[in-house]
Amino acid sequence: MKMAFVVCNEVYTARVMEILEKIGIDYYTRWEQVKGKGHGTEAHLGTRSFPGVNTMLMIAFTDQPALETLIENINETNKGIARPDDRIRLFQVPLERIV
Amino acid sequence: MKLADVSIERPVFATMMIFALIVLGLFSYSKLNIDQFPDVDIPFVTVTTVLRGAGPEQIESDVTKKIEDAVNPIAGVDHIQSTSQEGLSLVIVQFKLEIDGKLAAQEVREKIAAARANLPAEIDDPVVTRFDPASLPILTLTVSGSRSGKSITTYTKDVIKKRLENVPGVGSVDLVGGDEREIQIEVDAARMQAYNLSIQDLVQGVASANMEVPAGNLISGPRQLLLRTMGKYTSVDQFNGVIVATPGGKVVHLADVAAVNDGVKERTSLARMNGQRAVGLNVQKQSGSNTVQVAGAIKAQVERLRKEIPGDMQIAIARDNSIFIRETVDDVIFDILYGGILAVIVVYLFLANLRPTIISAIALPTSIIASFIIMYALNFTLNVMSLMALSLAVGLLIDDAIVVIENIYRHMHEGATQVEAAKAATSEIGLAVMATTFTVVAVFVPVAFMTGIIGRFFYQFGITVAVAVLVSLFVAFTLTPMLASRWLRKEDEDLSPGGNILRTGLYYFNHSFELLSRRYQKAIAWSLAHRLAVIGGAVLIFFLSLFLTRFLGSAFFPNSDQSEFTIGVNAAPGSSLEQTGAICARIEEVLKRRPEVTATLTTIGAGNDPVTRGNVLVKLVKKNTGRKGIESIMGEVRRDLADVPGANLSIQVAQGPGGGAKPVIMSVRGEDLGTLQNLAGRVEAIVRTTPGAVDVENSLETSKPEVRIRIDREKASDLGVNVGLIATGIRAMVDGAVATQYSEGGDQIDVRVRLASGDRTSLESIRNLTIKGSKDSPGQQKLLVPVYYVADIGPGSGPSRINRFDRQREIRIDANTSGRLLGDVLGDITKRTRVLDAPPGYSVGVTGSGEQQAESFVNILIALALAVVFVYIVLAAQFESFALPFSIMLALPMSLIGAVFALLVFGSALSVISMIGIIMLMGLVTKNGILLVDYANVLRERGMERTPALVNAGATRLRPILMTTFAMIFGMMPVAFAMGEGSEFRSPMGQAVIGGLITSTLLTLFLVPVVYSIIDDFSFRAAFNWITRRLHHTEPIIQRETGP
Repeated sequence: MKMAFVVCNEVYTARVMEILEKIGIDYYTRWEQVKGKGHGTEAHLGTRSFPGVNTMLMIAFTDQPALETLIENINETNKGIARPDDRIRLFQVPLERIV
Repeated sequence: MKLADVSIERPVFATMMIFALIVLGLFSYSKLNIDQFPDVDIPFVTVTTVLRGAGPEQIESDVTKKIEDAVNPIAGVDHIQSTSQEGLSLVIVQFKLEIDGKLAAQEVREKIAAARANLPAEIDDPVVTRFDPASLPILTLTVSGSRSGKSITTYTKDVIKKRLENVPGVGSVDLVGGDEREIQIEVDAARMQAYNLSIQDLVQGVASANMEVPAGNLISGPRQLLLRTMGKYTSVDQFNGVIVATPGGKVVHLADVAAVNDGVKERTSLARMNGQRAVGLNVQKQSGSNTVQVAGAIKAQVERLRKEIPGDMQIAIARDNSIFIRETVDDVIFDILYGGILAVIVVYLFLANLRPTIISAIALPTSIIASFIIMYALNFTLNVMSLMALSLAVGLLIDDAIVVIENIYRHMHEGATQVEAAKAATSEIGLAVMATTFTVVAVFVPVAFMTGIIGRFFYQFGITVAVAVLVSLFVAFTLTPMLASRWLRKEDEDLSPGGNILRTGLYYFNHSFELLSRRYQKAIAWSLAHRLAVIGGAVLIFFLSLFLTRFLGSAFFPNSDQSEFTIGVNAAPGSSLEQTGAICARIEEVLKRRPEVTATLTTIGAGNDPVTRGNVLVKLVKKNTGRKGIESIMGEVRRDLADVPGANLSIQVAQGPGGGAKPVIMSVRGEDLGTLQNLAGRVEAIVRTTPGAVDVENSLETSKPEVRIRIDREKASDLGVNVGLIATGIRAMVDGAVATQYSEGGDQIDVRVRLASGDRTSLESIRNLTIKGSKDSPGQQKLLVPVYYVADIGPGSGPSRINRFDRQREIRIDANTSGRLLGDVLGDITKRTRVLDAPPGYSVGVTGSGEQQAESFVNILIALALAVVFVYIVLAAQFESFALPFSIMLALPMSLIGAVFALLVFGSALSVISMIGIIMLMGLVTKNGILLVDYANVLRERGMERTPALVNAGATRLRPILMTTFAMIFGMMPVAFAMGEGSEFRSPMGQAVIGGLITSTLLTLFLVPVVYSIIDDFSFRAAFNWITRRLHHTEPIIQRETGP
């Protein structure tokens, strides 16, 4: 079992949700207005100097192929996003148990 | 941003929101009235009282002063002005601007009614009207036809004039130059005396023989009949048979002592259209009513009248001020359209593609149309000021949309879809766009709330600009992101040198920007390394601009060329109507020789004017035919007419914000007429010798010849006559008395009894006139007393009119200006009058346009100061800093040099209009600084050092700065270079703004980074610590949190 955290610029939320819908993932937890800064990328702090905020999704996978499909789709979408700072990130971690 | 997000997510909702604004805006537009200027009419109430035969001094003491005393306590009275002239008292009550003219007139009527008992019994009832008699007629009609002048005049007076007076908003309709029918009973003085009759006997005899009195009802059985005594004359001949006396049983008929003529009234006025006599009707509007509306209603009435009047009569419109107003308004609307198109072309050049250009351009008409809603709600009109606001704001209205679109593009370029980019971009720059818009609003709100007449003038201007930019902000947050999210294409942005010429041109135009931007980066770096030189240069330029203002003349409002001017004729006192007419005919002759003159309309004795006052309205060919400017034509006409003897001429433009009065008015006030006259003479000499002052006139005309009858009261009493009997008797004999009215076909014609002209034209004949006393003669008849028995008759001279201002006698010295501006001429005059040693209780001051100009300039300077304070407030709030706004605001004075230089180049003066342009610059210049400093702050917060941050911010923001500046400049071009009728009035504002924008943009691009860096070094914190150290000689109490 795996847990995936998807973090994207707020403006790309709709695109991520479209991917999930397309590949049939209807289970997730979503946080909006999340602030943060990546390694070497621009901060999204919702301020005048660091504009923009992020959206975060937590998705638990019991099924590895579904996660792979999501990763493929995200990679495909990222190809169209010119600025590396704005690309959609996915963090994959092991998941031990779902109650 | 919530508003933008909702608009993007619900495009139909957003579209409908804007559609609703457009529908409401168009509806409001259709309801907006047209006028030349906002309603700046001061409420005037005029009280006209006629006391026939009384001299100016008698009128002043018996009528004018009493009326002044009666109306003075009314709340809201600002000034009371009065003129006492032969037979007429004119009291003009000027109320404060905020007073309702209708209520004021009602109150004046009540006060006059209460004071009626104190006024002489012989006066005609005082007439209270709600208009300023000094204002010019808005419309002049002429009535002509093949029938007799008498018949035309009667019809005009009884039908046309009355119908026009009933039109709402009409203040007065004056009939000029008609031949009014009158039955004249010309009495032979010798025969009258021979029959031992007095003029009163004849008046009473004629009156009592022409009566129709109801005598009650006759009840005869079941019927009730009305009983009437039918004593009215049915033909003019019947007057001859009137029995006027039966001395000793002998019947004396009127024909025995007098001749009856069916003639015309003695002419007291004259009208000539292009040299041909006509019956004129001058229509003046009520204070506060709308010229175009009133003129429209009158013209509709004229159309109806044309269908009703006899076929052999014609009505023509000789003068119509509403045409010029409509033309001016159309011109300004053209300026708005043309300016808008130019601004959109500039945007296209920069954006190099059609879709974003169209999206930003849509903001323009939407903002303008939506502004009409507020204009309608606030009861504004479509006038030069409110439309000028829109024409100047055209370049501004597109700005917010441009900034939003640019940012949306950037996001799309970085990979976002249209919707994503629109959302992100709008929320990112929302605050900056709001701040720039609010600085513009901050500048215009103080302009709108200036006090006095000028405040009224600019209220609509300021509010319209503020509303328009706020609407454009709303559009930039709703329609612009919505349209961008649906319609922008990323591929549109690709621009390459290939393809058609337009695309290649656009490529090179935009490519050159990159070069410019690199050069500018180097220039900023140089400036930051040579801060002292940049500051020194800026200070030098500022002082140079202050120095240059010395070469700028000042004027209240710019004179505008309306293709017509007037020549006021003031003939020598004592001149007859024929003499004044002859002078006007000479003027018409001179004018006829000028090819640019298309028509002349002469009126003499119009309204309450005496026969010595005339006015020639000169109409010229349109300005766009390439004729000379109106000022030079007026100058030439003035030279041509210099040798016209017997009259003072005043040549001035037909109308303007100052009304019909001359621009230079010196008011000399005091009580004693002799001292006043002396002082006024000295002021007149000063005005006459001041260069640029022409058509100088003194309001006191002392030299009018008079015949004075001084009654010996004792002698008169002995002979049974009193002063009243003598005065009314002489008046009836010389001026005549209307004994009754003769009815014919529904017309009421005056029947005037007076001596035959041969018996009242010499001093000797007046001496021999007789008054019937109360004592009996030996023959048991009442004694006839010759005037010379009881009175001393001799020539004298007295003032022909006495003017008063605020219940003090006043003499006005007024003049037009030629070749020099009002401010300069008045400056020279006041410099010399200040050293005049006026006796205590006497004063010399400037009034009229000069006074208003001085007041207005002070008000504008206050508005300027307030605008600067408000800009500071907005900037400090935006940058969260007390010191940083100065880096932007110190660039404000840099706009002055361009404004002054542009005004000098265009030959325009420093007027109220150009000064408002300079205030407007404060808001526009601030915009550039905000864009630059805002981004420098962002870069520094992101960790960049100060100098690279400033250099980068400059390079990044150069494009939007130049884009918005060029859009503004080109948007205002049509105003600055306007060639239409009356464009001289508004173009100085456009000129000042364009000049100021060019220099301030160029200079601020260097000065703002330099001042920013200096303020950063010497921040508020550092200053505070420095002061603290100085005060306490101790360690600073506030430590810097970060390193340098």
